[in-house]
Amino acid sequence: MKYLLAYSVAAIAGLVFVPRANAIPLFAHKYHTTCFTCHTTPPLLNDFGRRFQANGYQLPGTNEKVSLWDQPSFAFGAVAQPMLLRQTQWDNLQNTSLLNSLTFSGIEVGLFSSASLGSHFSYFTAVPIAISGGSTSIDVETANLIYSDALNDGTGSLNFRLGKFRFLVPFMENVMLSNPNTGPLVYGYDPFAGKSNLAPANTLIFSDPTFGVSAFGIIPDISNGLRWEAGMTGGNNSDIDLTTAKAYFFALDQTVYLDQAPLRFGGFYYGGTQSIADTGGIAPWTNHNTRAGVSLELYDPWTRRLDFFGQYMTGTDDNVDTVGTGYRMTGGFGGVNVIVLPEKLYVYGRYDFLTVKETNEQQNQVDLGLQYHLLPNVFVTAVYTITKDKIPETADVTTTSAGLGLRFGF
Amino acid sequence: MTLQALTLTAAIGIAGLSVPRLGNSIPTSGPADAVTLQTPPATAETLERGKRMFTVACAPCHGTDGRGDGPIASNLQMKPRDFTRGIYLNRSTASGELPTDYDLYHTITTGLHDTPMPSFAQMRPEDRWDIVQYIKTFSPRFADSTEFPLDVLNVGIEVLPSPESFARGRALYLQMQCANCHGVNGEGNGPAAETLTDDFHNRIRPTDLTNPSDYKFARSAVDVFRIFSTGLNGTPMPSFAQSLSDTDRWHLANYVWALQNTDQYMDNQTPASFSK
Repeated sequence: MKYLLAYSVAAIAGLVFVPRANAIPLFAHKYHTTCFTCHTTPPLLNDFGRRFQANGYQLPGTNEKVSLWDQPSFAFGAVAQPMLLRQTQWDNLQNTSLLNSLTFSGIEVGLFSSASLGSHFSYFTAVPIAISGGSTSIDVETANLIYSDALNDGTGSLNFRLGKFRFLVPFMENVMLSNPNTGPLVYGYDPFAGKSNLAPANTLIFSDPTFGVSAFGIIPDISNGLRWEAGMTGGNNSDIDLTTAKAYFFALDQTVYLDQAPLRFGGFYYGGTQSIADTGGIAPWTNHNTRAGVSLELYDPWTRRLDFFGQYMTGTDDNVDTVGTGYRMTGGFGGVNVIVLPEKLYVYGRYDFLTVKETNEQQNQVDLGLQYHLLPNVFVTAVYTITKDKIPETADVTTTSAGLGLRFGF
Repeated sequence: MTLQALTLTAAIGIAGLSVPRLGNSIPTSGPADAVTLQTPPATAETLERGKRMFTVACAPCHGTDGRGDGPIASNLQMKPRDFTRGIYLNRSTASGELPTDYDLYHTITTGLHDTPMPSFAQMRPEDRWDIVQYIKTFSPRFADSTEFPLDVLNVGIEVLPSPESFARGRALYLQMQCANCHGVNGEGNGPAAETLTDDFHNRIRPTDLTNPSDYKFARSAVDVFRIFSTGLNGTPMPSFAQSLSDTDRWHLANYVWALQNTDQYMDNQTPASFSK
């Protein structure tokens, strides 16, 4: 009951104190535009948003030349996403309930900052602050320096970045809708999970922000834009240097307009070697890892309101402990985002699967949700996810997650 | 030289002449570089460069063929301009006429506030001019010599804001039935507000004149005067150039602009209070 009360208060406060003017975050504020310039619905990026992102967070066709002391472009924004969440977990082997809870997911506020630092140079930072259960955690999730428009032709074909960032993986959370409490299975694959006696520096959750350097961009002259990235990292989620955990990333994602409806297809590869040393007394060892995938996305050419997408990915880790235990993962997802009412209502559905060959672990997930644009800087979100996690004759657990929340931008 | 090229050249010349004619009447919000730069000739190279930059920056909304049906358009309430029709909102020319090159450049530069059309002021001026030339190729109107010369607005003698001007403006606001769409107090909630469509059959809504965020083009009373003089082609917003004198259009512009700037102009009086 107390959670319901807290949620109601937060919701009412949000509705009452939302300013009338469009105090929407960061780039919308900086460029005096709406979130729908770059987003189908936040955080789903549209074609303009993809080009904006690939141009070093500057408008496509531009190379900002604003002096530090003469610009309002030290844009600062924040997003908060409180959610009331009902979760149940059922053990199908024991036929018992493992979890039945109604919780207020707490408040996670993401703080963002970005600015042009003069011609070609800009930066982007994201700092999520999570407040939950009486504790607060702060993480510098992303912080990178960008050198954009290296060809000086305003097309954003070639840019560089250095720092902690997330690779331009197709269908990352910034281009797909999902339950914030679950997310796509295939991106959450962590071969080190459950090995609590190990404390590797790298969790290897692919697509987490990583320290590295990369070249990237969108080449506009190849059909309707070829997005590309090539980079080197210190390992996913790594805090160790490049000499001990070297990995490479390559990605291509081609866009072709079919009667102005985007068709995208591409592939990506990530591979490297980790020298895992930070393990609390256990001797260092080496793990070779790869992730490779292909992706496809298609808007229906008639209404352009149905966005079908799919991705298939494989991953290998040849030594996740000191004795050469390897894992091979295959997984992916397919789904659809639907624009029900432009700038207002969106629904989505997605099916995920993940199989780990050595353990025979199989995960399947169905994700349904909607997002409604209530006020200029407020979205209402509803999510429902059912996940089945099965290891034959060992474990069979079904988890459901249903949530109702708000997404504030300010 | 083809007929189209000749016509384009003529149009450029006219547009070029129009810039000095605007002279002191150029809104302060206009880009300084636009005043000094000449419209580049529409050579094949210009159009090729324009096409490339249009593809990069404009095609996601306006479509590769300029029909306003880009991949993003299906998700936008305010639909992107269909350049093939040659109908433009933001102009300094008489109602129904084409815009000048500078008008197009100005719109690219300033954007439309609080809409999906951002300001491309940070795009190189030569790229913006190239895009202007390329946009003009989408509509045959720009190649039609009968469309020219354009009747470019002369702002004339500005009437300064004053309580008397606001009072006259308020009276004109009611007399010209602005309240039908914009509401009695200018909040965009008039009885016809929910029924408006543009010439492209898109639902549109009248501007909330009391909300600074809702003004798409206007950044000063001069801009409001310009809209009253030219109208907004393709929308129900008419031109008052024939029905109101210059002076009355200034009064109306002063009143409307003050609706969202009451602190600046008024002493304990809101523009709406002049309705008494």
